[in-house]
Amino acid sequence: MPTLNQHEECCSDLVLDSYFAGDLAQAARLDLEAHLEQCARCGLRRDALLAQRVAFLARVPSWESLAPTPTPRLALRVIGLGSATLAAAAALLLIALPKAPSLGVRSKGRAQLGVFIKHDGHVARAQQHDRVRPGDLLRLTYSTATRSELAVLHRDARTASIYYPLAGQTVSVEPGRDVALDFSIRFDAEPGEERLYGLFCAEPTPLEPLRAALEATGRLPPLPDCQIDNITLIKQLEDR
Amino acid sequence: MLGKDECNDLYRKHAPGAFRRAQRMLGNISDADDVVHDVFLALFERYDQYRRASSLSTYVYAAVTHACLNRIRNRKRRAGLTRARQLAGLAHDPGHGPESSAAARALLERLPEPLAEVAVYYHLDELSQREIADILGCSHTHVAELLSRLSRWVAHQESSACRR
Repeated sequence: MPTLNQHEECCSDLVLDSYFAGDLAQAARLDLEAHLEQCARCGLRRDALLAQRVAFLARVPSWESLAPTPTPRLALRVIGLGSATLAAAAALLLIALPKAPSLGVRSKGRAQLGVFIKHDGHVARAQQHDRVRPGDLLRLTYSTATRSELAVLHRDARTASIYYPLAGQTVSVEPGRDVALDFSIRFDAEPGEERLYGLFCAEPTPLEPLRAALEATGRLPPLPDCQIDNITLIKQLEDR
Repeated sequence: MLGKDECNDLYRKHAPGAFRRAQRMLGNISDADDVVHDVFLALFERYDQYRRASSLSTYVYAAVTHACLNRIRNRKRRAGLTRARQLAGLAHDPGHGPESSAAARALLERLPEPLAEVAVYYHLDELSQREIADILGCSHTHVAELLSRLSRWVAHQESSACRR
């Protein structure tokens, strides 16, 4: 059974994973919670692992979506392995974007996050404050005229999460127009605002502090070296 | 036989941690997804066998470790870098370059089986010797012996590299 004695007094990831999974006995859970109250290092690690859990489950929400069958999930794997052209083709398998991504074409103006929604089999580019429904599929693209450090953050009524990338900081992307990101997200059943933030930064930028600030305050802190493109969708239960 | 809801409940509880460790060990999302898929498929098929274990989290850690080490060895990578601190290069998610991670994987590929496993738990997961003993199902003393053998193995590799 996991214990609290890793590296003297701090808890290991195994203990935290057991805690998240509900595997800890009551006494161990209470010990851990007391420790997390007073240990900043373990508290930060808990927050980081929680953010990663949210991001993973947003990307692959169920066992079926991970199964290697001819499903959209398979298309995602192709994207991860292939060239830019193959990625574009795979993106079309996943969500047939109304306009094929023009990879390698330099876009003009501000860097932008592209949002595509698949609803009842139809795909459309989302505009600011568009209505979406639980079960709709979200796919993101980016457009930037210069090499950028990219990330996508999300905020709903209660929590903030890092949608892209899975690692703890921005990733470098090449210039391009409507370049598809290699994941999709299915909206859950909780109604409310879904805010997406595309960050295009000049330098690699750690994301967990930004996610934490977004969750705590509802807004991102000032980021002088980043362009931020945001879009808000309204998720509602009734038909659009 | 587990139902769909039970499978997804187990998946949501344990798959995020499994994926995080697999991605750290393997260095890419696609391979990590495959490992998570295989580990959970085996778990669902033989769940009666595993639910009596003291902790499912511990089982998943061990299963992911085995699956990743097998995958690393199957890649047949031979980077030739053997410094012990390269293992520590896998210890935290951000901030470590692809070179150090690749070197650590190359080192894991070459380590004998029991040492590779204990190296992952000690250097990557930063577990205590007691936690490692729980996962391996052996004594604390045996874990200490394995770590000692690991240190000797790494020292031998370093001295061999210096002679070359």
